[in-house]
Amino acid sequence: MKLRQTLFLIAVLMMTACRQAQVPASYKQLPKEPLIYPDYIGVTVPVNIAPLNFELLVAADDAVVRFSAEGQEIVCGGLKARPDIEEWHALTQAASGKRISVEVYAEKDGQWMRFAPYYIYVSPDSIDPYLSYRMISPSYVSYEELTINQRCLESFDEQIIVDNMLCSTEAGGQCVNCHNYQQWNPSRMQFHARQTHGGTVIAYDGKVEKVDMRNEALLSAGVYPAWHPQQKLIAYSTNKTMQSFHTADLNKIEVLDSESDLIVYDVDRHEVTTIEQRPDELEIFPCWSPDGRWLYFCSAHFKYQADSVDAAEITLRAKELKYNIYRKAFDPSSRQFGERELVFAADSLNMSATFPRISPDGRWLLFTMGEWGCFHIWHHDADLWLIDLAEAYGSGAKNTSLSLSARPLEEANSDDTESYHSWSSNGRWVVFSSRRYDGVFTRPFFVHIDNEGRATKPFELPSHNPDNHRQLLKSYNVPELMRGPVILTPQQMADALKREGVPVKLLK
Amino acid sequence: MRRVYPYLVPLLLAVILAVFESDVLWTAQEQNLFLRTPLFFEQQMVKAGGLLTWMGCFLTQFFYYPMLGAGVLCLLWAFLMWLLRRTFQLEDLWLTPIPVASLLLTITTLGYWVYYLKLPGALFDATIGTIIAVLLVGCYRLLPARFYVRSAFVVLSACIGYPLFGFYALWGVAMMALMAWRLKSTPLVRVVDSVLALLFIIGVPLVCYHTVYHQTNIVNIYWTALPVFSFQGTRFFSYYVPYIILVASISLMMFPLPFRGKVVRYAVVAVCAGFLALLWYKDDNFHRELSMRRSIEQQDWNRVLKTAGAVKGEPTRAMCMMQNLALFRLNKRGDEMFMYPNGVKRPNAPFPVRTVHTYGKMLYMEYGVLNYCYRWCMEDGVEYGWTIERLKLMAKCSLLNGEYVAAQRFLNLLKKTSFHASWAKEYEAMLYRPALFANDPALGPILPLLRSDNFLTADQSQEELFLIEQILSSPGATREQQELSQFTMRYYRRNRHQLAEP
Repeated sequence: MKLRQTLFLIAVLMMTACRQAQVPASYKQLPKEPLIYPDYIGVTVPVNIAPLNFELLVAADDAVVRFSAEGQEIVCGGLKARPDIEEWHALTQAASGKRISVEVYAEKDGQWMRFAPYYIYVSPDSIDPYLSYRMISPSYVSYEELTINQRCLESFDEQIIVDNMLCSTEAGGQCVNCHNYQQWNPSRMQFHARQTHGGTVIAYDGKVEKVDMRNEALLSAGVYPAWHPQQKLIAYSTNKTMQSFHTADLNKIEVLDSESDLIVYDVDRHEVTTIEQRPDELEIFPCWSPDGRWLYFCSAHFKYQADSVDAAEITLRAKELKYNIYRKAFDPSSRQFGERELVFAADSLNMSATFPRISPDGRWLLFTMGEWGCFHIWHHDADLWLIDLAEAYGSGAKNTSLSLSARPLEEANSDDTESYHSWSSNGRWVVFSSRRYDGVFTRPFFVHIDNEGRATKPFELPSHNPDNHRQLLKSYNVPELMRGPVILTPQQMADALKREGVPVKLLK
Repeated sequence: MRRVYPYLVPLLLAVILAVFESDVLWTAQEQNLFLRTPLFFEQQMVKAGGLLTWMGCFLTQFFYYPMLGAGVLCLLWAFLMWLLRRTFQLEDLWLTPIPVASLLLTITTLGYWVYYLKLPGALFDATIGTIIAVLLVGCYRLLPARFYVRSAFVVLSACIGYPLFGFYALWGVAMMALMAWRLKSTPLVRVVDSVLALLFIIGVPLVCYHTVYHQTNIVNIYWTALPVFSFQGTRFFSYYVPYIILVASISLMMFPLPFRGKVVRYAVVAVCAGFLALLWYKDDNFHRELSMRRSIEQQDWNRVLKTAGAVKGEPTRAMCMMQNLALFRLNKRGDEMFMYPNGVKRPNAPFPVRTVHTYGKMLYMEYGVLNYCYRWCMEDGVEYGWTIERLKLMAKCSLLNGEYVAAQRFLNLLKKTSFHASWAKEYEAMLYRPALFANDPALGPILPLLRSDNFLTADQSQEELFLIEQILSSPGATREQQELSQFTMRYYRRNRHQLAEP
């Protein structure tokens, strides 16, 4: 008898858990599309993306959603549409290069309604299967729980790569930041820690090393990193960074550098060489071209009226900080850099350009542009812009005034902040940070960019519970795509952090 | 009937708590957050002891009505007394008030830690954790001695209990190791149970550290779910005294007392009363600050002044700032501002208490410096955890700034609470309808103080000086701004020498 009761209970539980949704036979047709979160209406997704779970935001008692393409369909019941992962992947494979039709039916007071169907366009271009990012509250100075996570984009699996709490005590903690990979390779990564256990951890093909890059002749240890695509070199900016807070402006916070330079670090030799150290220039955000022969970076001209560096002065004159994009030739055999040359004069548009990133085919230069400053995640006006480098540097180049050929990536931009971005290894996808929903919390969005630089409507990173991103009081910071997962555990990373850093040698 | 008398002790203690520490309890729930969401549960479970802190947060919200929360505590303490008697086969129930008094002291000794503790649900954690630990020992005792069933329970308690209840499960397992020698059993079984207990107490947290959790430093894995009384590297061991008494008093219950009868009762009453009188945090300024803060939340400005006026000694800056705010709100900016006590007494805490971490966020809001209110809510939310107070203030800032989607986010979270959902719904009705702000008793008076001129600056945690500087930097455009500026100038001229926080 007990066995029967148990079996009955299990059966009831299974039936309630897997309620078979049915598309209603009769309904009232509505002319408009449904209001859903995240907004996946008309987006283009890679063929290998995880299910685009969403939540219906209209007042309804029940809902049924039908995803269909090429004779296949998935029907989900409930106000949150969460297709089975395997069924979803079968559907996206069938719809590759085509589109998935999504019909949403909602029931209110016994009456079913059908919204106008919408489409999800499935690109045959796949995306790298992993995304890493730092989870951080959009805080100002304080930090506590900081993690660098990795998320499988083909499912909802999320793991921790680094957790600063593993090294933190009540006496002190550290800020972990600036994770970066060589050529999307998860076994070649680096990240920094500041304050207690400070240093740079470099993992390279199984070897994990902590480096202490501090040197009296440098402004700071390495900050914003850029792995050389082929060599064991990492370019960094060195920065004297400070923060100030607006009393009324909705941007709320400004992160400024009173000084900054560029260095390059040789991973094998533990040697640092200065690349750029001009007194009236603030150099930042290095980025290698895919062939490794050019180092792009941003630089703002700023001359102090005071005799020396004055944090108060630069804070007062912060809106004068206009960063342009430059580049320097690099000879991989001699490891010598050439002179800087101007790539994009943002100041000529009375703007400031940051985070230059070049597509793997070398053609497109994507960057962030805001009215001023270098920390655009806190600027509501910041947008993504695109330059066709082939126009200037390709065969038959006819335009050297690149300001004219730069265009805002309107297809991806919103009324709010767009900032940090990185390309996929096949160059067809870009992941970028956006605060478009509420202006406060950063979420990663993905946009498809074709051969001609045309972009599609971006989509937000899918969550298993589609409401998660509206509840989570943390931002996704520095989204970087990877070809696979980092296999080192957070404990191994913590052990590396707790070690003394290998001192580096500064070459004159 | 006499058997019931000891149960009057928790009742009496709960009543004392609710009557004398009503503002502390109310503040505790304002500095707490419990959301009815799977995400909130998941966020608690990322640390060992996650279920305990989740339960602690759940129960702390009942302090919204201090008497209700104290009533819940009373029931739990009574249950603990009953459980102690059953578990340790106590002949005299009068031993059990000592742990209960210790549990009360874990609350009443906190003082300013109510703003700085990073342990979620701290006011209930010790009570629930102790019940769990004793319950585990009770189950161990009830299990049959055959087939190493008890040994298996030791292992299970450590393996399952530690992730859910942290330190308290380990304590329960440790008590099982002692209990093994008090129960009828073979020497071999006793040794096996004790050795297993020891091995699993040491081993389970280590295994969890390496395989499950990534939020706890290895040096803290044995103390999870206990509060950390540490500030900027300095530990304050005196705050652990109630915990030491708690653990010692319960662990010793396994051993027979050398005396019994009335001696025990008198001794227990004397010990409890002595502990309570000695360790209870009774600082007058602290209690007045909490009372004034609560009155401001209730828009009872006269009560703020009444509380400030009755101060027994030198007031703290926070009290003076709240008092000035009340004077301004009640249009008593003239001579009356000099009739209230003024002072610079440091908060009675062994660590530096900054206004920005306590009442400063509210003060920034009330003076219309929304970005700085928001900033400190965010800073403290990151460092000390999200709380009802911070979410409410951030929702208000976002509303007044016209950042309605952000406001909706904070209001949505508050709608998932038990006692603040109606507040959230009230303000949700104002989204995209700024015309309604003027009629709101909390938002309306702030509107004329809002300024559009912007400075890129920092307060360096010197809130009062920063506010004065901000208010005096320009007389402002509205009548209220000009009045505030004049009021501030008079006050500043009189008190400028004593305004900096140490």
